[in-house]
Amino acid sequence: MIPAEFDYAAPATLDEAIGLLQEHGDEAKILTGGHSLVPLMKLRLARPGMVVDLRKIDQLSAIEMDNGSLRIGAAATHDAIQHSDLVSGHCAMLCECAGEIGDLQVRNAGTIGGSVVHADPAADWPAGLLAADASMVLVGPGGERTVAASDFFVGLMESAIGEGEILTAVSIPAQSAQGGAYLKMAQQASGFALCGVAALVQVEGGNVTSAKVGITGVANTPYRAAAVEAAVSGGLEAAAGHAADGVTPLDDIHASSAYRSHLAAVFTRRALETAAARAGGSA
Amino acid sequence: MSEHVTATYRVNSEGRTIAHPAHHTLLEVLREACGLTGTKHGCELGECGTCTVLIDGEPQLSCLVLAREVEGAAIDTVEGLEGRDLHPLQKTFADLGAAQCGYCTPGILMAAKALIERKPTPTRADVCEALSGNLCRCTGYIKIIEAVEWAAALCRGESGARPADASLYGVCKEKPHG
Amino acid sequence: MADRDQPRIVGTPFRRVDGVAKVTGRTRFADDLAFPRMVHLKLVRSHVPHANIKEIDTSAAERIDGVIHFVRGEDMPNTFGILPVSQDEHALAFEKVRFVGDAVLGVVALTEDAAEEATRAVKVDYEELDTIGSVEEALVTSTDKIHEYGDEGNIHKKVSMEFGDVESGFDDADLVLEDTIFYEGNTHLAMEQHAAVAVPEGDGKITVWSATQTPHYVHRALAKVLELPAAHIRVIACPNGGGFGGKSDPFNHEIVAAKAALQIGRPVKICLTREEVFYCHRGRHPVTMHVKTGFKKDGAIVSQHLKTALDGGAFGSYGVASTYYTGALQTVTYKVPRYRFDGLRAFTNKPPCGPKRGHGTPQPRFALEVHLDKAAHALGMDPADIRLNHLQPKNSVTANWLKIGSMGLEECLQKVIDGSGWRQRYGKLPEGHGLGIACSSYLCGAGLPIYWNHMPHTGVQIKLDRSGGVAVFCGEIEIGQGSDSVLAACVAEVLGIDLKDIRLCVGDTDLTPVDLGSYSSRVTLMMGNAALQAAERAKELIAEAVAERLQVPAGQLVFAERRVFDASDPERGMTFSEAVATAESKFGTLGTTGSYTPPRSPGRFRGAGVGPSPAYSYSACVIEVCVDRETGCYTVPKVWIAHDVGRSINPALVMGQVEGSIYKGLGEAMMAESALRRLPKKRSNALVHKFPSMLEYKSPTFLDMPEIVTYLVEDPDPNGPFGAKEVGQGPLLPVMPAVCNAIFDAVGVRIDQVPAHPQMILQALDDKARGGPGRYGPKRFPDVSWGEPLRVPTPDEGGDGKAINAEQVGVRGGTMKEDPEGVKS
Repeated sequence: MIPAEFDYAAPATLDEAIGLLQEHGDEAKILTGGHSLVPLMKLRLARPGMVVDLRKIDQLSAIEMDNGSLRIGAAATHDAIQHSDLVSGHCAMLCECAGEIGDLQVRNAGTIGGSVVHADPAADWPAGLLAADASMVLVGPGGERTVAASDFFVGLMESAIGEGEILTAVSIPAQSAQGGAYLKMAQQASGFALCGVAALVQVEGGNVTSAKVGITGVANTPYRAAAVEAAVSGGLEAAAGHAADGVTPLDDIHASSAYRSHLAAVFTRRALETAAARAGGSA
Repeated sequence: MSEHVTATYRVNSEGRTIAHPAHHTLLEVLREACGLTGTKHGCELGECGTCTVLIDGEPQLSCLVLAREVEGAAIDTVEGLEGRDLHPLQKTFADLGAAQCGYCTPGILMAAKALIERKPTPTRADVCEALSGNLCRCTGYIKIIEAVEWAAALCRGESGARPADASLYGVCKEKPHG
Repeated sequence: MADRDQPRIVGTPFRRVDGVAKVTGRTRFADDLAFPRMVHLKLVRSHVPHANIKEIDTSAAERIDGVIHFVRGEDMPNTFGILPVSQDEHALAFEKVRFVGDAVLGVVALTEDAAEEATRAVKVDYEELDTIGSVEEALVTSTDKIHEYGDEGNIHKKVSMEFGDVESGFDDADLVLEDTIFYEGNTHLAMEQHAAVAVPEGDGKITVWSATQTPHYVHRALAKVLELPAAHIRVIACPNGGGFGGKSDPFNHEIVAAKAALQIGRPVKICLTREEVFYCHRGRHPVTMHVKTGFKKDGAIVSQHLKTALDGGAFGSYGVASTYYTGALQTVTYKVPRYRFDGLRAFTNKPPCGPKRGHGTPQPRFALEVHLDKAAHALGMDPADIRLNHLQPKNSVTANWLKIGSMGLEECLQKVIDGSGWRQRYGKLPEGHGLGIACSSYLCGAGLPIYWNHMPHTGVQIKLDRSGGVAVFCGEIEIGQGSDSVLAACVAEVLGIDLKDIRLCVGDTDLTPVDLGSYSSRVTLMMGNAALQAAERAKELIAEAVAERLQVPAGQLVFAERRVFDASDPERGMTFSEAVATAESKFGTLGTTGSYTPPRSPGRFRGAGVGPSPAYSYSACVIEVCVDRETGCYTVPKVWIAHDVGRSINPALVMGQVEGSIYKGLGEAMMAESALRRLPKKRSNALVHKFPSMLEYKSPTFLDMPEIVTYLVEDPDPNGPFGAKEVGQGPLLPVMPAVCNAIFDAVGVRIDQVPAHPQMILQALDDKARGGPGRYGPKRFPDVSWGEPLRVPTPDEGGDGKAINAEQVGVRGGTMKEDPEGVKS
C-alpha cells in the first residue's frame, strides 16, 4: 500500500514550519512519527497535499526541565521518554505509560506529540497526562498558548489544537504525589487500551489522602475521574466504583460497555493500590 | 506519472543514490528501487513487524517511514547481516528451524540484532519484549527465542550453548547415535 | 542395502535445506519477482454484500495517468472452484456480487500507485439484494438466493448418515448428555499476502508464478477459465510465506492476472493488500454443533449423534468436504459403536470459508472433548480416564468405516498425564488455577483425490548424472512446513549422500510430476513414499552396475557417506559420483520415478470419500490456565503435549510444527475470530469486518506464549515413509477444548464456545453466582429437517461398508466420489 502523492518538507525551524502550515492550510499535515498519519494516508482517510516533517527541528525532540516543570518536546519518541532519567525522576508513572504503548518499533518512531494530537480515545498518553495535570504548548501564527490536558481532549479523535497551530511540547508541573502507576488492559491486536488507568496518589499513615486519576479507552474521550478523586479518602474500592461515573462507555466488538465500565472500576482500584504501594518511592 | 526525487541512502553501509517516487515509504524504496527484496511486508500499516529494518541501529517499521525522512541515516536490512559467513543469528535460526516459512524472519532477525547489540545477555523476558512487535504465524515463537539466546551466547564468544535436546527431540525421544 | 532402522539423516535435527535462503533474504516469494515490462494489477471490490451489478463506469479511471487496461468479468465467463461439485466462482463477478470484497473489475496500470488510484475512481452501480448473514437466515430465506445451485434454498449441502441404530443405543445408556456448542470462524493470517505474476511467453503460452499451496489445481482452473490447453500454461508455486490452508484454492487474482497478461502481452503482477487477504479468506467455518451421547457408567460411549451447521460464506470452496469433515473423524479416537451425523452448510453473504489447519475437524473436536469432560464429571470419573479407558484400538475399523492403523494415543495420554502431574494436581489447584485435558487425531492426507481419478496423488522424479549430484523433481510446495527437507532427506538417506548433494525442483507444473498440493497433511506421507520409491529404484540401478564392476553381490553393497562399498570390506568401493558414472556407462542416462496412491478404504457409501487416510496421527494435551476472577482475563502458563508422529523425519522441525500448532490453537481458543458485524441499513446493511486488518484481528505475540513440554511418541506406521505420520495439523486440535476444560477446573464455569473471551467468563461466573448453571454458550441448534439418513450398518453389525437405503435417500447434489466429472457450472 502506498499513500497518494504529496509534497514533503522538513523545515529546520519552527517559524518555517508555521509558515508552511499557513501557506498550505487544510492541505498540510504534520508528521512527527508517522505511526498515525502514514496509515491514514495509505488508507486514503487522510490525503494531505503537503506533509510537514517536524523532526529536523532539534528543539522539538528535547526533554528538559523548565522552571520546575518538565518539558517534553512533541517530537520526543515514546522510547526516549520511557528511558529518560529526567522523566523518571519527575513523574515515573509517565515512563510506565510510555512503555505500555504498542511495541518497540512503535515506541522507537512514534512520538508523544503525534499521539496526543491524534487524540485517539484509547491511546495511553492522555491518561497519564491528565493525571499529571500536564498542559500542551501550542504555537501558531498568533504566538504560543498552553492548554490544560483536561481541556485538550475534546472529543473522539478531536483535540483543542487550532488551525495552523503546532504542538511543540507537553509540560508537566512539579508533582506532589508520592506514588504513581499506569495499568492497562490492551486490545490484543492493536495494543490500544480497552481500559487504561493512570493514578498518582498522596499517602498519609498508609492511607491514600488524595489522588489524581486519568482514564483512557473507556469513553469516547479520555477523562479525569473526578468522582473517584473526590471519594478516594473513603477507601479505594468504593472510590474506584465511581470510575465510569458520568461517561458513556464505548461499546464495540472488543468489549461491551458494561464490561468496559467494570474494567474501569477494577483497573482504577488496582492502579490506586499499586500507586499507594509505591508511595515513598518516586511517583 | 509520479514525481520522482533523487536521494542518497546509506543502506548496509553502502551509499546508494537512487531516484524513486517522492511519496514512497522506505519499504518500497528498499524493495523496488534498491532491489533489496529481503525486507518483507505483512500488512503495510504498521501492525505486524515484518518490514522491520534498523534505522541508526534502532528497529523501525519501514512501511511507516517515508523514505525521505531517512536520507543520511544508517539503514540496515537482512541483506547486510551476512558477511563471508552467516551472522550468528542467521546460523542459529537456520539450525533450529526458527525460520519456517521464513517470511517474518528478516524483520525478526533485525529486531533481534538490535537487542543483542544493546543487551548482550538478554533474559528470556527481554527477548520476548524486544520481539513482541513482530508476528510469526508458523513457529509459536519458541524456536525463535531459543535461536536468539543461542546467537547471543555465540556473540559473547561462548560455544556449546546449543539448546537442550528436549527442544530438538522432545523430552522422551532418545537422541540417536552419532 | 537400505537400513531403514538405522538411518543417518532421518531422525536427526538437521538444518532444513531451505534454511540459509530464508535467513538471508534469498528466498524469492511471489511478490519478490519482477520482470521486464511488468505492469500492475489491482482489483475493484464490492462494498455491498449482495447485489446485482447494474453498471461499471470506468470513465474517470481511464483518465488516470498510467492506466492501460481493464479486465472485465464478461471476458471470462467460465466458472471455477476447487471442488468439481462447486464450480461457483467467476474470476470477476459480472452479474452479481455475493459479499463485501467480491471482485468486479481488474485495473492494469504501469505502476501500482496508478492502479490503486484507478480502482478508487471506478464507479459501480448496484441493485441491492437482501443480505443473508447467518445459517438461521439462510434457512428461512428462499428468495434472493446467493447461488442457483445447492441442496435447497440457500443450503449448499445437507448430509445425514447413520451407522448402527443410534436411538436404541441411547435407550441402553446409563447417562445421556446433550450439548450445544459454537465455534467462531477465524482466518489463517499467514504473514505473506497473496501475490501472483503472470508472464506471457509470446507464443500463446503463459507462466503464472503464485503464492499457492496447490499449483496443480490453479493449473486446472486457469485452463478452464482461460480456455487454453493446460499444456500451454505453466504454474510455478513460489515458496509460500505461510499457508495454513489459506492458499489452497485457485483464486480470482491469479486468473485475472493471467487473463490481463494474455490480453496485453506484458507480465502482470498483483499483490493483495492485507485487507484483500481478509476478503479471500477460506478460513475456519463458524460452526454451531449439537452433540448427544449415551454413556455407560464406566464412561463407555454406546451411541452418539452429532449435528453441525456451517456458515459457509459466499462460495463453495472446499465446503462440501468441510461439511463431511465436521462429522468424519469423531470416531477415530474413542470407541463410538453407533454414530449418526447430520451436517449442513449454508451460503451467506460473507467472505467464503474453506480449509484452515485441521479442516472442518477442530470444531467438532472441540465439541466432543468439552462434552466428554462434562460426561466425566456427571459420572464421577477423572476426565483423563474417560478417555484412556475407551480408546479406539489400533488396526481396527470404526463404525463409520475408517481403517485405523497405528494408534499411539494411549502413550500420548500417559505422557501428558505423568508430565503434568495430572493425578496429583487436577481438581486440587488453588482457586483460579486449573488443568484441562483433551485429545485429537488427524489425517495423513485424504484417501481420495479432490477430483475423481485413478492416477497417483504424488510423483517424484530423480535425475542422476556423473557429477554425483542428484536432482529431485516433485510438484510439492514448501509452505514453511519443511516439505523440501523431507523430500531431500528421503532421497539422501536411501542413496547415502549428503543433503547438500541434492538439488530440488519443486512446485512447477511444467517440470515436476504432479503432487496434489500442500494441504490435508498429506505431503510427508505421500511424497515421502514416492521419494523413497524413486530413490530405491535409482539405488537398484546403481547397485547393479557397481556390483558388476566390483564383482560383489548387489545385496552386499552399502550406500553411505557418499560412497558405495562392500559391507564386508568397506575399503572395496567407490565414491557415489563414480558409482553413478558406472551406472550411466552401463544403462545410459539415468532417471527414475516414484509415485504414491493411498490404499483403498473399506467404506462404500455416499460420503465415504471424506475421512479415510493412509494413517492417523494422535495427540493428547494438558493445559494449565490461571484465571483472574475479577476481570475474566486468563493466561496459559504451561502446556504439555504428546504427539504420535509415527516417526520424526527431522525432530527439530516436528517440534516446530507442534509448537506452532499450540500457538495457533491458543489463538483460536483465546482470541482469534472473524466475527463480522452488520452495518446499518442506511449504510448498505453490509456484513463487514469492523476494519479488516491486523489492528482488529487478534493473534498471540511473543509475550503470550506459554512454556511447552513436548513429547514425541514414535510408533512407526507401516504406511508412512520410515514410519512417519503427520504433525502439522493434529497437535492444534486438542488445544481449544483443553483450554475450556481448564477454565472449568479453575473457576467452575463452562465456556461452550471459542474464542473464550474474558467477558464470557465473567458472565458465566455471574450466572453461577445467581444460581444458574454457570455456562456461556449458544442456546439452541437451528431447526433443520434432516430427512431420512443414509443408513450404513457398522463393521460390528456385519456390514459390508455399503448403505442399505441408498436408493430411498436418493441423490442430493453430488459428492466428489459419485460425480466423476462433477463439473456443475
